[in-house]
Amino acid sequence: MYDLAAKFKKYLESTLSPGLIKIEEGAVLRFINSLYDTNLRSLSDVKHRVKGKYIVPPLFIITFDRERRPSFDTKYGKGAVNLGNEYEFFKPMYVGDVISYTKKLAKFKLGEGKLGKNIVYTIETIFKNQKRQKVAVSRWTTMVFQ
Amino acid sequence: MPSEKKLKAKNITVGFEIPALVKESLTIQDLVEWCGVENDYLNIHYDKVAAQKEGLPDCLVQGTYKLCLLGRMITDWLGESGNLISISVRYTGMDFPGSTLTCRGKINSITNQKDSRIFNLVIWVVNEKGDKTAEGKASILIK
Repeated sequence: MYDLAAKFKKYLESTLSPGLIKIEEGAVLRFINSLYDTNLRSLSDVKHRVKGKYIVPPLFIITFDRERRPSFDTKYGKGAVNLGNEYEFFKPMYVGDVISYTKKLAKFKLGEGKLGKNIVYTIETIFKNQKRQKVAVSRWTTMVFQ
Repeated sequence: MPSEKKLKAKNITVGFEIPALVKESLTIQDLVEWCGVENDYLNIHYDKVAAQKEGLPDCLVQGTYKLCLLGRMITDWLGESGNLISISVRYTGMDFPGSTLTCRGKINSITNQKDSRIFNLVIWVVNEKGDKTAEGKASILIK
């Protein structure tokens, strides 16, 4: 675990795996249908439009930069718990926008709890649109325990 | 879906409770669907055996699902009257299939700006047992 702490220290404030994603109508529909228990087949059923472009629900951004993982990667410890999520929104996003993001390890802390030794860390991600305008910032706090 | 009713900022005061959102009896299907939405197929969210191996009684409801239900509650009420400018949530308890989640929010403070008002809310999720399993805050801007 404390080797892991050294690794965390090394990555502190450095930029991690930047990415780029185009907002597609199908992905937005799946997000809306899941949250609303609907079966919309087109965004034409959704009223939120500006100049003909569909505004994306702000928390759709939660679907970006996720890893397809069937199980927890044990090299990081025995398990992990999502402690909290924070989002700030600065500009609306539209279907068709291309969003780039950069993330960094903002902070981490060693601790000990019911489940043994742990590391609590926060990853901060900045999202920008194709005009290089900041659209959102997220902070995810996770606890990894040994 | 988001309300089409225009909200009037002057009618919203500290202590005002926004309409609650209730998600009845969550199913494994809801959790699987959310895995697909998020592209995160961590097996404790849909495989009871895998969840029990991790010491959980059943499949775990994703925290992000609760966050997005809270976001939906706010944006449904807000409609086109304003924007959600921030939201943060801490997960304070676990929920499992069969849970009924009720999202609630209350205006906590108001900041007047030149041509708009920022409303700060406390938000939370309570399950069918009355346990608060997520809590946090959000800010909205109404012009």
